[in-house]
Order: sequence, then structure tokens, then C-alpha cells
Amino acid sequence: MHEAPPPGRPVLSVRDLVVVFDGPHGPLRAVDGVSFDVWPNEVLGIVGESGSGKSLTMLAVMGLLPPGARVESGSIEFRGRDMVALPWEQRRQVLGKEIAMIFQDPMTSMNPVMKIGRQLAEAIRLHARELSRAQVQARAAELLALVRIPDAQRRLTAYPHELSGGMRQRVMIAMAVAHDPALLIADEPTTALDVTIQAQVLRVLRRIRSQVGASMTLITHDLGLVAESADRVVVMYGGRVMETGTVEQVFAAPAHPYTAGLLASSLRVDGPLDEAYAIPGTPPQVDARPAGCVFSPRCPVGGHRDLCRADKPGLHTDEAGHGVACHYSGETSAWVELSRRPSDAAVGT
Amino acid sequence: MTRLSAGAAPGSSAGLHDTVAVDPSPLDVLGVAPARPAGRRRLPTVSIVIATALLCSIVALVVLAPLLPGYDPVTQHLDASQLRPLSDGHLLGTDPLGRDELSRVALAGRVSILIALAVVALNLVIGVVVGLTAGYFGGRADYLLMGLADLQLTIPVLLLLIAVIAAVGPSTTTLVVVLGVTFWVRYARVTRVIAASLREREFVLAAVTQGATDRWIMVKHLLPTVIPQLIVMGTFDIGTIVIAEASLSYLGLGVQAPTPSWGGMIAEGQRYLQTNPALVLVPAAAVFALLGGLAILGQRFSATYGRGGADLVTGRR
Repeated sequence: MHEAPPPGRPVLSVRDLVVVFDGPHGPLRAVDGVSFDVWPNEVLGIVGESGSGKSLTMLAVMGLLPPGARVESGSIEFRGRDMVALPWEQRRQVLGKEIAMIFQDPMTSMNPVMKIGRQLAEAIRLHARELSRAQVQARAAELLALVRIPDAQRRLTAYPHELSGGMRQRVMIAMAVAHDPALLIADEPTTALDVTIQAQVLRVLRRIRSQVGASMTLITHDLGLVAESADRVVVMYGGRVMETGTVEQVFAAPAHPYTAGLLASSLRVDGPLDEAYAIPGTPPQVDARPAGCVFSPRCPVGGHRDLCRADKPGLHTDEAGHGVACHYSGETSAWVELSRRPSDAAVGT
Repeated sequence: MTRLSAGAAPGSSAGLHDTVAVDPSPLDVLGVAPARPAGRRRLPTVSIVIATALLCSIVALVVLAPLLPGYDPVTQHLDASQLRPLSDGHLLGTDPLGRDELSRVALAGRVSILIALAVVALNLVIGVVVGLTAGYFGGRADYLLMGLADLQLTIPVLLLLIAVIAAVGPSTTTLVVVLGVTFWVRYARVTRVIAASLREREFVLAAVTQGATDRWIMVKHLLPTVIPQLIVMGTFDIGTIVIAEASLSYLGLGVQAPTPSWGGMIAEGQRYLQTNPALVLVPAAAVFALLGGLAILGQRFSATYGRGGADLVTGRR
């Protein structure tokens, strides 16, 4: 794990990205000025609730925004290429080869009427048209062995529904790493799986990632997964980055009230069950976001202050790489202390 | 086809980028049902036996008749015209020009079936291309192509055929081409519905993230799902085309003499209906055997295919 950003250039560099949707009353900023870097060989966790813009950000990176959404401003640089301006044909050459995606639900992300072997073969052939049939088959079997699928030859002739969920997700991982990508985008890779096999699949994913030497963005709402698997983390809320830093920095000393609230709301194995904190209120809809800090209506620290209501805080990063977008981040630790005693926290909100 | 439209609905409501879309029956629309426990072995149903017998008799007729010693559909024997069926050397008798009726009905069957296959193939290709383009791209392409399909449907096919053939003159080529571009709308519609619902599926998005082109997705992911449905439709349509070709030939606009065709034979024999009904009944029975057999098998096929590649004959997986 990296204490400070490693040397070299980032694999992926997103700067001030704004993604807008066309709404009935003008454009809606679903992603509002997001910046982050993914460094070589690191795992970046992107954490946020549904609608925080985390998936949309990564779709923008791949150039696969849904109809009606577009990148309004900002830049996305992947290995020195401007992904926003890149023509479709060149972007297609990047997808699957240099950037690969792993989806949440392997059942829906595989063609149910196509045998595993054929789907794997296609993922291979898409960027290696020159390979012979035998070479493709050999590579497919090799990939299945890489993700520790036993009896690979038999699995190749199976249909997706004949495999277990964990097995299917491993096949998806095998497809994703078919061309040794530089960046893996994993969108909730274990959410659709049984709890018992999440750890297995995660182990496979981690091992493969380091074998291939790829960087990875792990999009999730599971803080435990991030703590366990990521080097650095970006916390998103309402289309903006709230806090960023190494996992140690963010989890041990959250500087943003939202991060602190998230951490306080997760249950601990060794703690009592009734002491979990709940962030009051609900995330704002994309068309009803407050003018100032997007978290201010729910913020236990600065929500009532005029500055928070009027002014969007920028992301301020210290020398250690710990960034936070909060006017009163200095007061967060005091609130954390307070919230550890549940009765006081209830009063505080 | 009702199964299809019912199954397509949940898929089409899920957005392309809706990563948490949970389709309750992702396999249903694609015709793959969960494995069924092996049941007891079932025998073919009576209708299957009849249909198979009818089709086999037609196939035997068109394939084997030319191998018989007396096969000669062209030579006229004016001294042996209008022989009744079961007469010496002519199992089904002879026509007014003394040509062997069995040989003629067999050759006519060949002609009719080959024409029907060519016509269905032409329509299938047009329908698949139009339907895939409209369904996968949607938007303006969909609007234009389906508008064209609607336009095609507003024109009475037989009238159009008569007009075109009257203008350019009747010939087998004209017949194939004209029929080949007039029956594609149903293929296009079915293809479009399947393509439009599959396009929203996550596995298509997954293929895009793997670097697939539009053509790749259409050919590798959409086409294999579409083709089985269209084959079922095609079997039905062979009957329709044979009827259409027979009708046109009956009107003298289709296959031209001396090449025999079932429709043409019925038209010629009609004059002798009172004296020698076999001249009409033999080709009519051949048309009936082909159409009846195809209709029953086609229906059975569409019923069992929906249950996931179940055995065609016994309905067993």
C-alpha cells in the first residue's frame, strides 16, 4: 500500500469532470467537478451512495455515457490520450484491450445463449484477430486456469446458467484480463454474489490484478471492501468528491463529516448492533441539489452555517495527499468523538 | 410469437446503463429454459406422424420419381393422352398431351420447392438486415425502415405481383425476385423486436466495453438469437410462397410452359375436371401434402422451441 503517490505518471487522470444530463428545465450536473488520479499498479476505491455519480464517472472514462448524458467540461486522460476527444474507432481499440470492465452481475453481463468458451473466445478475438482457432482456444483455457476454474475444458462448453455465480464472475474476470489491460474498472464486482463466495472471488480478482500489473478502480458502496482491497479511496457524494486519500488516512481520520458519518454508520463485528449511526435525511435528487456544499442539508458539523449553504467548498489536499472538500473539516474529528457516544450523537443531530 | 412479445417487455424496460437491472426471466426471451428433470420417454404425437408422412411422401416424390424407369415429363404421346391413373406404365395417368402425370407432378414439385426456398431466403436476408438495423440503432433508422415496412404492407401483394409481372413479362426469375422482396416485413418486425430488447441488455454493454463494434454485436450476439425464430417463420412461409407461386402460375403469370408447376397443372386440368379429375386432384393433393405437413411441423416446432431446444419430435429435452 502506498503512503504517498508513487512516482511516475498516473494511468488515468480525471480533472474537473462535469457530466450533464438534459433535464426538462435545462442541463442537470450529475457529475460536478470530479478530479482524481489512478496510479500504476494501485487499487483506487470509489465509494458513494446510489446516484453519487461514481458509475457515471467511470462510464464517462470509457466514453459509454447513456443517451442524453454528455461530458460538458473537464478532462479525462488515459495513458496520455484525451478520452473525451478520442474518436470512437480509436476508443474502441482501447476498450477491452487497455481498459476492461467487470460488471456487478455476471448473469446479466453474459449472453445467456452463448457458451462460455465462445464468449471468452470473442473477448480474445476482438483484439487479436490474427490468432488461429486453436490459439484462441488455448488462450481461453489458459485464462480459465488463471482464474482457478477447475476442469477448464468442460467449462468452456457450458452455458452461463450452468455455472455458479462465483464461477461466472471468475469467467468475467478472465474475459476482462484477456489482453492484460492497464486499467480494470470493477463496478460492484461482488455485490451480486453470495456472501460466502465474495471473498473467494475477491481473492482471485486481487491476485489476477497484481499478476497482470493492472491498476484498478473499485466502484462500490461497501466500505469494508474498500478497506480490505484498495490502496487509496475517493469518497463521492452528490456528484462531487468529498474526500480522498489513502485508505489509512481516510478510514483512520476522516476529515469530511460525510465520510465520518458513513464510517460511523457501518456496524462493527465487535460492537453493539444498536449503536450504528444514521446520517439524517436522504441524498438530494440531481435536480434539487443545494447551492452551497451539497452535503450541507444533512451535515451535523456545518449544515446550519451560512458559509456552507452559500459556498461550494473546493477539494483541498495536504502534502500527504489527503484531500477534503469541507469548510470546517477541522471540526470533524471532534464530531467523531461525540458520535462515538450514541446518546450524545442523537442530541447533536 | 405472443411468447416473444411478452418476454421482451421486461428486457426493454431496463436501461442500457442500468447496472443493477435484474431481469426476472433473462432466459425466457432467448428461449432457454432451466433444465427440466428427465421425464419418461414420450412417443411422437399422431399429428407429428401424419405431418412427417405427408412431407416424406412429397420429398420421396420429388427426389425419387426421376429415378423411376418411366420418368419423362416432357415427351408428348398424343396417341396415349388422357390415360386414367393406374394405367399400364403410367401410375397417375397422362395429361391431354400424353405426358406422364407422375413425372410432371414430381418435376413441378421440384420447381415449386426450389422457388419457395429461394424466395424465403431472399426475404429472410432482407428482413434480417432491415430488422437488425432498425432494432439495434433505433431512432431515425428505425423510423425510416419501419415506415418502409408499413408502406410495403399497404400494397396488396398479389396486385403488385400482377402489375410487375404484367409489366416485365412472366419468367421464373421475375417470380423469384418479385416474391423475394414482398414477404420480408414479418421477418423484419420480429427481428427488430428481438434486437431492440437485446440491445438494452447488459451483455451488449459488456461486449461494448470489450471493444466490440456494432456489426460484431449484431452478428455475434443478436443474429444467433433471431435466426431460430425466423426459421420457424420460414417453414410456415414456404407454404405461403408455394401457394402464391401456384396462384400466379394458375393465372399464367408464374412458371411458364413447358416447365410444369402445380398451379399451372391445376389450371390446365381444370378444363377436364368432369372427364378426368385426376389432372386437378393429383397436383392439388401434392400442394396439400406439402402445406399441411409444413404447417403442422412448423407449429410443433414453434411450440417446442420455446421450451429451450426441446426434442422436436417428442417434445422432450
